[in-house]
This record gives sequence, structure tokens and C-alpha cells, in this order.
Amino acid sequence: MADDVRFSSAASSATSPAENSHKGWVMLSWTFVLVPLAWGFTQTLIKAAALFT
Amino acid sequence: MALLSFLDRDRIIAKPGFNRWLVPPAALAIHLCIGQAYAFSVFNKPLTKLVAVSQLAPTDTLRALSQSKLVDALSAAPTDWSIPTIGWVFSLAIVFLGLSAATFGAWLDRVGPRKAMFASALCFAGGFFVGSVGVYYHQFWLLLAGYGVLGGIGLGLGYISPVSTLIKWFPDKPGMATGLAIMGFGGGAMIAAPLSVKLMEIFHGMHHGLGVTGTFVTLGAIYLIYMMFGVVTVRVPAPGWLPRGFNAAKHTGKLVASYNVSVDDAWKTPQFWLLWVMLLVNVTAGIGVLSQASPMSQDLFPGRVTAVIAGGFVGLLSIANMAGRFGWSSFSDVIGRKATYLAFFTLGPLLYILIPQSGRIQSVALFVLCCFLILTMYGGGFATIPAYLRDLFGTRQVGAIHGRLLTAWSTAGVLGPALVSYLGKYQTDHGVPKAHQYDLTLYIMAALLLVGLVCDLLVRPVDAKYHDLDGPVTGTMATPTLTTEPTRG
Repeated sequence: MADDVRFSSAASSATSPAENSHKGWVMLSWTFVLVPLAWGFTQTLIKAAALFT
Repeated sequence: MALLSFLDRDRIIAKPGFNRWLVPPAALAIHLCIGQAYAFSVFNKPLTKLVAVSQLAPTDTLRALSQSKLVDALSAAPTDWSIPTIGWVFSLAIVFLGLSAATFGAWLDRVGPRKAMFASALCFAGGFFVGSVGVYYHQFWLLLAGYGVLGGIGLGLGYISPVSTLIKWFPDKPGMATGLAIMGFGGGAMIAAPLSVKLMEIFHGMHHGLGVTGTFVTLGAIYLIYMMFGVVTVRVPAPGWLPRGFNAAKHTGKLVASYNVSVDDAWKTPQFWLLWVMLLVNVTAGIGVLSQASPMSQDLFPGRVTAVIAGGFVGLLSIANMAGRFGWSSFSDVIGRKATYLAFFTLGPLLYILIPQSGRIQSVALFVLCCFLILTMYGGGFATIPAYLRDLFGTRQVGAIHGRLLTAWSTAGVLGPALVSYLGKYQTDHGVPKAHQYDLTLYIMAALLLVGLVCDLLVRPVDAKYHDLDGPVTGTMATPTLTTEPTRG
């Protein structure tokens, strides 16, 4: 769409020193939410595997 | 009261050095919990056998039976709740989701996300606790008031609370940011379904209620604690904050607002109602596939798709739903919001029409592919709409505007299943063979998506008379008063 927004990859990858701070907390936080999600995803995938067996 | 001041907006303004990548996990913590709503159906069978099971002694033999086997073995007592009755609990929760999001959206924008997340956690967990009392005493009104009303309010508050905050933290990729959070809503069901089944296995036999009472209490406690992680972690950016290197000029276009529209003005604009209809038709069409995925797969491919395989197929669709939420909304940052919905509303009808064809040529692969893509677009429609609203109305009251738009979801939550059920009955009454009973429903869903296509094509920038001249412009607004220098915040 010509009249719509497009984002340049340069802007999208913009980082700042702040984005590199508290790396430990960031990793811990993401682990806290991604572990249950991964568990649920695996359970669903196991169920979905019936479709292909 | 001093304790509650911890929830105030001015207490959560990010200090210099705060890493914005801490905010998506806070949002995910909320959405992963409230996404449980989509897994409520795992309680359907046990809830219809509560009276019957209470009349049996919990003998060792019964304990040895698995939850599902026991439930299947029992016949419901005459006073047991029926499946359509139980269905009202989920429907009411979705109605209250929309109503609370619409009512409390402006309050959320005023008090900030922490207070709203806190209220959401109390309501959502409280809904489970009240609901468990209803299950224990077999009082349906308590289950409705608990999970349906209180839990539904928690759903609505939780759904919208992190969205506007994420948009403000990620003006360079708002679609991806909101997609991350709303993906959590899809993922929440994936966690809740197996977790609930395991909890019912644990609690079954301990006391009456097939383990549902204990499961409700445990889920309420787990969700309360987990959502508190989001409450504690969430921060809002300082006024005028923008990420380093962010160039607002690169993110502008005819459909990207360089102004703000207040929530009270937004819903007077045709753009709001066009997006409302787009969300309505996208959700209604998605429900058309979701609600009949299992029986449809078995009826279209008799002898090839069994009940077990159909269960796997439904699992695959929930993966598609979740993947679409993140994938399509992130992709919308590249191609734009209007183009993303154009893809939904042009590709979607073709896929709906292809489903009956896949039955005629007996191609399971084509059927699975069509349904998978449809469900990615169903999820994508939910996740991309906040960014579309931000493009059209600015960031200042996008949370409140999003809240009001979610009434479309509530409407679809009632309209969709009713339409599917009515059309199914109509086909059965007219003696249509099983394999063709879904055709009419699917063609109507395809037509609904074409209505969405027209709406999307009609979307234009908001008329200048609605632009809000008061108040500071925030987020991506390209004004000389803002600087991209204060990168820490």
C-alpha cells in the first residue's frame, strides 16, 4: 500500500545503551515467561503429532 | 494506602537505564494467564457430571480410572448442568471482556498499566475462587458470577492493560510489540489445557467435584502469583522518550497519525467503526472454523480422520492461532496495517471456499493447510488491530480506544457460535449430507470477509476536526518538541 507505513530495517534495528543494560534481568524475565509457553507448546505439538502418524 | 501507592503511575515511570525489553515479558505474564479462557472447554465434560459423580463413593477402583475415562463412563444425572448451559460461562466471560475493556480503557490510560494489571489479577483469580465455590455447591449462578462476570472483567482489564504501554515503548515496531503480548493470549490456552487436565487428575478423588473445585482454586492461586510478576515489572516510558536512532520521519505515511484523537472523539469517526466491523467479521469467520474444526475434519474425511487425529488437528490450529498473532503483526510493521488486512480479506475468502473443495477431492493436506492459514489470520487480526488504531488515532488514548473496539469481539463471541449453530441446524433439517453440511457456513464466512475487505479499502486518515489539540503528543509523533536523544528511560 503506497499510502501506508513502511519501516526501514535500519530504524527497526535501532539499539541504545539502555537496551544492553540489565541483561541478566531481561534474560531471567524472558525465561520466566517462555518456559511455561514452551511446555504448553510441546504438549500441543505432541497432541498435534497424531495428525501425521 | 501507602502500599497501594506502589501501583500509581508516577511510581512506574522508567528511570534512566531501564531496558525496554523487560516490558514484553511483563505483558506476556498477564496474557499467558488470561489466555486460559480459550481452554475453558476442558472443564465442559467434568462440569456436566458433578451431581452424578457425587452420588458415587470414591472407591479405589474409581480413583484408579483416569479422569477422562471416568467422565466418559458416567451419565449425567437429571439435575446436572448441560453442555449448552456450561457454554454460557465462556460466552459471558467474553461479553464482560469487551464491556470491561470498553468501560475501563480510559481509566487505564489515566492510572497506568500497573494498577490495571493488579486489578485484572485480582478479578481473574477471584473469578476462579468464586467459581470454585459455585462448583463445590453446584450453584450455577455463582459459577456465572465468578468466572463469567468477575473473571470476564479481569480478562478485559488484563487484555488491554499492556497494549498501549508496549506501543509507547516500541514506536519503531508497534506491530511486533503488541503481537508479542497478544501471542501470549493464544499461548495461554496451550498451557492451561494440559495443566488443567493434570490438576484434575491430581485433585480427582480428594474431594467431590471430579477435581474441578481443587483445579479452580489452584489455577486461581497460580495465576494471581504469575500476574504479579507483570505488575511488578511493568514500566512506562518517561514523557518524550524515544529509542536512540529512532527517526519519526521514516515511520510516517498517509495512514500514520502525526496527531492524537481522544477516545470520546475516536468512536465518532467512520474509521473506528470500519475497524470495528473488520474485527467483527474476522473473529466471526475464525470462530466458524474453530468451533467446528473437529467434527468438520471427521465428516469431510470419514474413515481417514478419527477423533484422536481430529484432536491433534485442533492442537495444530491453536499453534497457528498463536503463530499468526506474532507473525502477521510483526509483518504489518513492514508492509503496513492496511495491506495486512487486505491480505486477510482477500486470501481468507479463497481459503474458506477451498475447504469444501478439499473434501470433494479428499485432500487432507489441502484441508489442513487452508485451516492453518485461516487460523493464523484469525490470530493476526487480533494482534494487528492495536497497531492499526495507533496509526489512525495516535498513541495518547490508544488503550481506551482499543478497549472500546473490543466490543466487536464480544459481539462476535455471541454472534459467531449462534450463526454456526443455526446454519448447522438448518442444513440438518433440510437433509443435507454430512460431508456438505459445512459448505453454506463456510461460504457465508467468506462473504463476511469480503465485507471486511470493503471496510479496509474505505479506511482513510481521520478528519482534522477530530484531532486533539490539547495535551502533549507522545510516542511516535513527529513534532519538533520531541527529541530522539534521551535514549535512556
